[in-house]
Amino acid sequence: MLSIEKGYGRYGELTVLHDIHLSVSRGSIVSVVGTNGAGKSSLMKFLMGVEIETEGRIWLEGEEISRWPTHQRVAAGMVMVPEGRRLFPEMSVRENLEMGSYTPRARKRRKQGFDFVYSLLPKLKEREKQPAGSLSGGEQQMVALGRALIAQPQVLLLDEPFLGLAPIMVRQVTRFLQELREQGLTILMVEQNATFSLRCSDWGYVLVSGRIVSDGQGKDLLHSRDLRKVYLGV
Amino acid sequence: MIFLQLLISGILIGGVYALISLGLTLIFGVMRIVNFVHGDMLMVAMYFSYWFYTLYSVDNYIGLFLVVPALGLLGALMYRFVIRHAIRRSHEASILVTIGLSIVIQNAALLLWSADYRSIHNEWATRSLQWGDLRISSPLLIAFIVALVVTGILFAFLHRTYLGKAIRAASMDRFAAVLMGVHPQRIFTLSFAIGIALVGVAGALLSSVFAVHPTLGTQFLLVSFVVVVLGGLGSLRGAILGGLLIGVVETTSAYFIGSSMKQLVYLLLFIVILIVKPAGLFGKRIPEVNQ
Ligand SMILES: Nc1ncnc2c1ncn2[C@@H]1O[C@H](COP(=O)(O)OP(=O)(O)OP(=O)(O)O)[C@@H](O)[C@H]1O
Ligand SMILES: [Mg+2]
Repeated sequence: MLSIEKGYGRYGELTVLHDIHLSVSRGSIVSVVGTNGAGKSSLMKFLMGVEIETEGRIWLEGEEISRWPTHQRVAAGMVMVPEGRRLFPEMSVRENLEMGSYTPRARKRRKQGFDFVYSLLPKLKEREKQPAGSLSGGEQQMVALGRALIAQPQVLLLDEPFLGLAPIMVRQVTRFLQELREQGLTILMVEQNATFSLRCSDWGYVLVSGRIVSDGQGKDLLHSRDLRKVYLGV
Repeated sequence: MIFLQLLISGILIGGVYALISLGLTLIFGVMRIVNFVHGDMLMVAMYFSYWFYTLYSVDNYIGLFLVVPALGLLGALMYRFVIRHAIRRSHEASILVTIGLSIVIQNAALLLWSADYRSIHNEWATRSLQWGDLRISSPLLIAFIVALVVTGILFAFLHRTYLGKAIRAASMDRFAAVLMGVHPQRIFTLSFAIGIALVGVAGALLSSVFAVHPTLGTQFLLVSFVVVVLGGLGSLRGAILGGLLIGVVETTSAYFIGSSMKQLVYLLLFIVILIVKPAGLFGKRIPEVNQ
């Protein structure tokens, strides 16, 4: 469904992603875990083709998209929820969701998109008119997810979806992601919190200093020595 | 009575200041550049309006429908071929390039149309309405009403259409807007075109109020800087309020201490507000955006 072949990512002189090979099969949840500065956000930017110079190939549903501009990737169904949600703070919740339906494809199915998101996240409907900037962190994460879902994604990319969430929200987001997978969505997330993300993942990768050092099934990887080494240094 | 008179005259001219400043603040909000060509484009618009009137006897209120698209197009071309490349370099480059453009445009105007002051004398130009002691200049009243309508259209566009929302989104968080599938260069070109088209509206309206000459832009650029900073950089509401406020302050001080000193007064006010409330009336901290 989505794969990277020999990917390198660079900010000017500084290469932050080295020889990345990664693949995500349809209808699965895949996590890439790593500590601060490992290059997780860079990997997301690499996939979206934004802010970072890239080398290597990206395949989306059998098509090579490595040279496509960002807006074309979004239109093809690769939709990302950035680190820190990045909502449009002075826009209402409703307008934020409308921005999610910006691409022509999503615009055509806007009504269904809204119905779908409001049925999954009824809270957003209540908050429709409120400025997005005034919501709590957990609510903002829901808006960010809703905004991405309205874009009619084939693959959903999540940058640290659990960051800063209260335990109850973590469980809620986890359940929500699993529900989305049940509905056939493909999800690739990068997370610092290996426990939260690998627990609900089918497959995981470990990223260290811009290199993938290990991979495996979500729960196996979580208890592996490789991972302990990365996080605890033992 | 005189206060009411000054207040009304001030608000009328303030409406036009607001319109000019809306363009400046919109361009700043989306691209984070200070457009030093802004005043000169007003001058160009006024010349267009003047020549349409003089050569083809097109009334400036009809000419508006020619001047505005022409200015919008000029804005788009200017962005595409000059400004865009400067922004890509650095912040300093964009300042230098717009200042350079401003000098080029002023000198081109001087060369083409000489330093003469030129004004339109249509039937509206000297008319005024009178209620008791109150006199209201017709061209200013028309200018104000049109400015009001155009502002309304601009807000409707920005709040009700996808493109308008994309412009607002890009000015709040460019990175997030790009992730929604917004094509940034398209939005920048459009915003620049709209900003300059707004100046086109103001130019067509003002051509029967003031005489135009090649350096007229400088004084209007100054006014709109004051307005935009006063209202809060990038804030559209702030630009409207700031425009009206500066209109009233300028008119009042011109009456009491003379025309030549009026700029001094609003510049003083400007400094005071910046000391008391540095972000302007509606200001928030404007985050830097990287490309
Ligand atoms: N725009 C940029 N320009 C230059 N260097 C950058 C840029 N963004 C990130 N970097 C560098 O790239 C490396 C990886 O950063 P990245 O943001 O991808 O890490 P991360 O794994 O997402 O970290 P975090 O957990 O803090 O979000 C870091 O060393 C960082 O300093
Ligand atoms: Mg990150």
